[in-house]
Amino acid sequence: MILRHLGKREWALFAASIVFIVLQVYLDLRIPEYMSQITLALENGTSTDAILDCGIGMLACALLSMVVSLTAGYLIADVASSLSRKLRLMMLDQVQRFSPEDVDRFSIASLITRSTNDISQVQQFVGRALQVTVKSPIMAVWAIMKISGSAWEWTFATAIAVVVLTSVILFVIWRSMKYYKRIQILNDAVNRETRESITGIRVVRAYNAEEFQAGKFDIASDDLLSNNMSVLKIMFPMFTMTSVVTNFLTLSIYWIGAGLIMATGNVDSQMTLFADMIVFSSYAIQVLRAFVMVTEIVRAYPQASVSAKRVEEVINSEPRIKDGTEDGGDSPGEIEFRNVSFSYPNSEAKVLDDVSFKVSRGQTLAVIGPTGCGKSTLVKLMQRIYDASSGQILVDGMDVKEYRRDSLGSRFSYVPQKSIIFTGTIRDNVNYGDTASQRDDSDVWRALEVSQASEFVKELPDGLEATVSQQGKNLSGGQRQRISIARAVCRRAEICILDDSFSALDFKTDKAVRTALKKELEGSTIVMVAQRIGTIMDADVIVVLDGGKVVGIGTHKELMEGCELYREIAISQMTEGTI
Amino acid sequence: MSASKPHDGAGTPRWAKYDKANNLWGTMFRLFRYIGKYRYWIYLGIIISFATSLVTLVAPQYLKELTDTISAGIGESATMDMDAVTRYVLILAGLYLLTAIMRSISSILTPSASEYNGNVMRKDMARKLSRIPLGYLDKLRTGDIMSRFTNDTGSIRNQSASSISNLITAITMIVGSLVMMLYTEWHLALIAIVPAIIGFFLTLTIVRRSQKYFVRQSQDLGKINTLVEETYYGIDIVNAYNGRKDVRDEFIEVNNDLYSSALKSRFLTSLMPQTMGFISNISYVIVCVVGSILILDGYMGYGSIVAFIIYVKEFSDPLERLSNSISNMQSVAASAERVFEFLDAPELSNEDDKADMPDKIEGRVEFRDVRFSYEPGNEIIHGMSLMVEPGQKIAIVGPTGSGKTTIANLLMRFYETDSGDIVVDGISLRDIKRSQVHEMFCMVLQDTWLFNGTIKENITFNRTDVSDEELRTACEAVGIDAYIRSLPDGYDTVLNDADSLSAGQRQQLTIARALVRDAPLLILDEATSSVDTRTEKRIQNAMDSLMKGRTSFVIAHRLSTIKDADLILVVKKGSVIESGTHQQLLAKGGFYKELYDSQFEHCE
Repeated sequence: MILRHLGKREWALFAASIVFIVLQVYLDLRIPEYMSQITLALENGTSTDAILDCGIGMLACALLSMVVSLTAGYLIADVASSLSRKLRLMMLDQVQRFSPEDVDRFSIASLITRSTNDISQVQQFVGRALQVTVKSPIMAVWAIMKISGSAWEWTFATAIAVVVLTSVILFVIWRSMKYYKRIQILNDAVNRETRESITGIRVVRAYNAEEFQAGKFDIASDDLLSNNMSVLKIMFPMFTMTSVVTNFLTLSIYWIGAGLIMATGNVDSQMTLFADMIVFSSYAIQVLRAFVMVTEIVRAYPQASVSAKRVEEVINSEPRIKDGTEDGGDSPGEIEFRNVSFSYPNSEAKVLDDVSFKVSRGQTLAVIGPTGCGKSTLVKLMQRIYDASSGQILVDGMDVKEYRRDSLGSRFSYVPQKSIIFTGTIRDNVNYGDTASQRDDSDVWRALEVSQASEFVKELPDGLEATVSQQGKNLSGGQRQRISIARAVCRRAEICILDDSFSALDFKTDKAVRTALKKELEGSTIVMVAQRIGTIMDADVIVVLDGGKVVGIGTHKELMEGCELYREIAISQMTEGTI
Repeated sequence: MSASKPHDGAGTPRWAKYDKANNLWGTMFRLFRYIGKYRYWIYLGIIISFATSLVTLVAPQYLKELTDTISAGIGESATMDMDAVTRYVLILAGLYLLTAIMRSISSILTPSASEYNGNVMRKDMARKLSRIPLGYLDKLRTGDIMSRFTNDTGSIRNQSASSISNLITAITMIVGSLVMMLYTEWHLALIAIVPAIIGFFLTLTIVRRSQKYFVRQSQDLGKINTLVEETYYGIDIVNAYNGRKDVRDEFIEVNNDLYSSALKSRFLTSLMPQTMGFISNISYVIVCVVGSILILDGYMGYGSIVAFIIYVKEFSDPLERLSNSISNMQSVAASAERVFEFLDAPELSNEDDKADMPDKIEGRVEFRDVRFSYEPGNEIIHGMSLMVEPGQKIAIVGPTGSGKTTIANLLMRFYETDSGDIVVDGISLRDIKRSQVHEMFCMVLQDTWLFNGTIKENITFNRTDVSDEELRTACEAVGIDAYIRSLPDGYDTVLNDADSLSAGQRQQLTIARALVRDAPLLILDEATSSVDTRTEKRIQNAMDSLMKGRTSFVIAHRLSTIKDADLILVVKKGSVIESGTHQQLLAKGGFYKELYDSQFEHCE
């Protein structure tokens, strides 16, 4: 139940709102009782004053009932909004604990929907449901009790009506649940097909595959249609049922009433029965109104419960990586892999197989190898984005598993393969993270100079203040990459990881960045993943990976002599003369 | 009560969007015409709802008679006319049953029409997508188009038919119950409707006043959405730079804003039914009290009160529904406008009367003073002229943003040139059908686009006549056959967001796709940028055999892949600044040599 995430304050508000709701039900049921007084008075012959007295009483009840119900409405709105606020924060905290594998399990797009849309659905539902689910049963039970005080026949008729309606509602929930669950999936499919056709539009046109794509879209669209039609077919009896049952119940109350009155000879009890009949038909309508409200909730329930489950799934999932407690080792800048192997969960293939090496402070480590040989995985293991399946990874002489997360993070600056740019200014993007408060604009400019980005930033109308749109769409690939490198430079961590970070730069810029980096990061350990031999040939330690295994380790010169794969890569890229 | 609305998850919560349509009735009218053949379902639905309302209005009259009959049976000398009671009960039962049946029919008819209409609309949009010029499409954001496909059609689907039939039912009920009340007892009628009318205007005011909180809420929701989206996409960086606390602080702030605007709008939403509840209580009181006084004075019988209690309810309930359905129609019309805007977008010119290409294509390609701009006034290609002989390999190099990809785009006729001409075998590309132009080329693009489907479907893409052997040969040529066969499902493995293909493997698949296509001309736009150099070597061999006898255009970063080109064009800022063979260009010592040398230099 998603409600267990409510805090003490919210439960208190909820409890208070129940009191108000009970009060409201009392007042709402009190109004028809005055009517019964009036009816009796009418049959006995009475004065206008007596009727007006009752009228004032009724008005007072109506007014009070509104005040009370508004108060309850406000309290419940607060409960629902607080709940969603809390859930959103819980989601954020949880996702921040996630490793990429955890994220992959849900996919980023789905995590975003869960954090926003799904929580909104839950909030909306809880807001309506809390009020109705409290009010309706109280209303129903109370009203039935009042009816049953008079004649069992009426109680019996009401009971039948309630049973019929309840079973219809339950039946509909049960039948429609599976279709509601599918709506989300089918909507995703339509979304995916649309996205696919838009992102791949050039390919689609190049292959004259417009109809092929449209055909796939049709399938997704038709699936959604037939599912929605099934929901409709299941749901529709519910809407007619409530009014049918209400009408027939009223009718039965009159019919039974007529019979009861006829059976009684006593005029007084005849009149009481008549007054009861009028009031009970009001009660019966109240009871069924309560059920109508319940059906509204029922209709929204499957959707909301799917959303709630999707939220809970994330919140309750166990992050794969557990935090350590230590703050740091005593050989800064040192990285060591001891017989490290790694494979993804549910997969037997080893992405890394028995990898060992060591670099000391200030050295440059380069990793090279064919696509899919485990290069990126290797640098991710250092940062403990993943945990090794076996073996040990030491940073600053201490096992990465023992570190507190922040302490380990503060040792690295990282430029990922795909540049990540946040909405905001260039400054915010370069001066990012927990070191931000310790850096000023001169640091930012210096970092931009190192990454060869200062020139284009200066040309921007607002310089550092220039805003970058989401995912840096208003920057070219090369510009994004240079901003991303500047970010790492600005952080000045003891280990700098560059994961194939020069791929979008032309050779001239590539070289200029490398030269400036080398100077700027003097004393820092550099870890570099690359595809071009030219980029890495000066590294102190070069690790050559193939299929997750280390097939060569050493300097450029040593590897040219001793490692066949390395030589092969080099030859494929170089003219004979430069070797 | 006449229609159901299955909720769909893709839709924004209803309160989160408060778009106003510019032309409410015009758009609704167009939507109605658009509905086409399902229109009759809706007509029928409306007629039935109308009839249902009429029957519903007659019922209280019999209830009144019933009550009066029972009332007359009270007293020592009176006897209950049980036959009359039974007759009225049966008549009422019949009426109720009739309304139930009619309501069932209309409650399935109208929403079904909406569902079918939504489906037609979605499909029309999907087909429209293939007729829009890329130049226009570039200006739209993907997310925005997607939202038109799902959210907007969703809201039309959910609410269009129901809001129209609700509107009609509501008006019938309001007018009808007013007439019936006046008929039953006009004094009481005039007094009894006063609170309902006041209530109606009160709710309208509440709705108008609360608008700003809804707007605030949807803005806050948008802010949260952006923040979450960014954080999740950049989670690697957020974690690597210990940016978690900053993000969290910012999040808490926005989250609090959202809490308070959500609370206010939620409260205001609940205000409306509660005000209406209060109003109906007041009406009940007035009917009871004033009605009783009228009975005392001999103006009417007790049964009239019973009828009135129902009529007042039938008068005030539709008032609430009326304001609901007007606001629903506003949002339907707003969505419909967005859908129609997309459907009305400019289309590629019709080319049915254009010539077909001859069967045999030699592959002589000529650029004649080609000029092109994506946006008027910002020319990207400045008068490019070029002659390519059949079978030649043309390489295009240059810094990013220099217009290399544009050349490929123009060759494919994804965009039309501003002036000048591109001519293949003496025929201008303008004079043949676009689909025929596409047919002439094998094309591999920079971004590797794969769709949700099996590996096999992705490679044979849009062709049904590819044998398994051809498929295998193509995959072997690009060096991915072994990998594919090692997968549990082999070529039938389904590719989706969660697949574990690397960027390089994706590129290999798209190259295989081009191999299978086997067209006379070839365009490779950075086709091997994500493949490591060794794999590239292997693909290169496949490419070489593919290029044999074909005129090829190769755009590449890595100069190693293009050294053997017959002609290298060095493009910078939209103009060809150097051209020649590798040797010629090196000898020239210009920009090309600079680029070339920089890849082998050591760091200082």
